Amino acid sequence: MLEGTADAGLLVRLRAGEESAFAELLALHGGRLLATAKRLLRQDADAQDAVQEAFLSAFRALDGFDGRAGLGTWLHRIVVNACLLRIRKRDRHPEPTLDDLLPTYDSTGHYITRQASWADTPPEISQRAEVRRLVRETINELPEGARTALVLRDVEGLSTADVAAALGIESGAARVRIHRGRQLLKALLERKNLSGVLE
Amino acid sequence: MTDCDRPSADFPDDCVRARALLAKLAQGRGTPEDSAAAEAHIRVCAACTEVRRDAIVLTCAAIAAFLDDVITDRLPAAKRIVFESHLAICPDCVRYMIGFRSSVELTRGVAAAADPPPDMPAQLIQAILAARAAGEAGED
Ligand SMILES: [Zn+2]
Ligand SMILES: [Zn+2]
Repeated sequence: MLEGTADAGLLVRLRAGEESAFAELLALHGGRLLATAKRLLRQDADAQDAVQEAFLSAFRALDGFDGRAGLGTWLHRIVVNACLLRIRKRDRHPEPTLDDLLPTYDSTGHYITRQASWADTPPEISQRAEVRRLVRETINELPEGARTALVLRDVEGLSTADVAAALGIESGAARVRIHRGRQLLKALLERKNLSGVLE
Repeated sequence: MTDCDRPSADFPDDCVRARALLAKLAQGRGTPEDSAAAEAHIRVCAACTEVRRDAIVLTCAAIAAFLDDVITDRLPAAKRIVFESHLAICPDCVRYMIGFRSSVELTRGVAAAADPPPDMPAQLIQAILAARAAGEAGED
């Protein structure tokens, strides 16, 4: 509620073209959006460019903003789209598919190898800064398609339908990509033997 | 697949109890007595036998595909019973599920509020404000 009221005041000033309102908007949302751009684009310079691009296009679209979503959510969507556009335009480097990390099944559909035992992860472990850093690094090792889908769903918190819309694919295809990303990340984390997580 | 939501009309209470035991076993919390009690009922109950057969017929590969719905609690009840009965007989799927869920939790933790977002560099703020001002001037 409070956010909505604050948004409404800021929005009036933005639409009036008040310079200080733009500075305020950047200070208020810039850091968080830059973090999102860094997670999606991995490179600092790229992330800054995308955030700049996104803010400028948001400024141009202010009159069309209907206020239903809240400024923060609206800006997040614009930044995500700016990042995805950049990822699509990037030169595609051949990258390992990591398919060999996916689980393998025998002819009856059962696991061939014994699956790794994870400790039931206490929530505290993900609060540890070094664990978060390691998980972030490991996410960055995923192949692009799976990585983008997984970051949007599990880090940025988009619904599967919104992931599909952002990527311009069917929702079934988005589900497959998210699932694959989760399976690969689990296997990569196991390979690193994340201490305190594996039993 | 059968309609596993509907317990057998013959012994509805026993079915509910047996399936609760299967669910408990699936979470690794069941005792050998729980397992024996569930099996004793399944032997005499056609509906539960069918659920159990689906659980055995269902492959680990098929079970893995349920996991995205399991961790968000969106697996339809009918599928959940089959899922849990498979887990009751398949330790590998139990281990895989625990790892899958933990891994997703760790991923979600990456954006946790405990990490303050990085500051927006002053030079970036200035660049954006300058680009906006330049755009405005261009429009006039
Ligand atoms: Zn029964
Ligand atoms: Zn299994």
